[in-house]
Amino acid sequence: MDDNKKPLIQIDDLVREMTDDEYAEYLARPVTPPLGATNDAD
Amino acid sequence: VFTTGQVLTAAQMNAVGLWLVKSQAVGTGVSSVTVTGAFSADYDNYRIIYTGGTASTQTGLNLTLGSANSQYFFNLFYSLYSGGGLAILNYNGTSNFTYAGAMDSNQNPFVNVDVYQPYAAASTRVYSQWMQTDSSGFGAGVLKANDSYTAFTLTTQTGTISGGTICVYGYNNG
Repeated sequence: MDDNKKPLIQIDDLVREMTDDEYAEYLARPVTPPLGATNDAD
Repeated sequence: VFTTGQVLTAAQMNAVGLWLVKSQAVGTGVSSVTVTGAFSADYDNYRIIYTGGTASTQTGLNLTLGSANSQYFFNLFYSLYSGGGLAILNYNGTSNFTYAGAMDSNQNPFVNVDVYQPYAAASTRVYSQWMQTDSSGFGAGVLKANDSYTAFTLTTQTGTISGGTICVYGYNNG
């Protein structure tokens, strides 16, 4: 993702960048670690 | 069993057990997808399935109902195929159903969640399957707010998802 671009969100068929408020909330969100990151192939 | 050319009555159609309420194609490189008009008075209980897309990284998808951002209680039980026993993640009053869906290192997002009574002004229960490249399991929980929801959102914990289709089915009470 371009560092200058905010993440994209989708509402039904509409895809748009996050607003400033949505982006601030996104940055403040809790992020949990990935599970089972052994990277095994299918 | 229906026959070719048979005219189906409302009673027969209303007896179809699982009804496709809505399907939503997922765009490219999105961090969340909100599906509106998913829940209504037509059905009490629903199944949400998302397959066919790609994920940018190995992580999870969180599920939120409507605009509810608190009172989510959820446990995820999972185990690695490589061993190590059963792991349990507890989410005690959080802002979403965390890990309701999977994204994995082989770019396979996967969601299969049953949602019980989301439209009723009562608590909403969910039961989810966790199937990932490296692990499998299931999750179960409740949104304790006594509110009614018509929409839901799948949000990546990090990264993005692209493509595939989210399908919402209603369980018909007949």
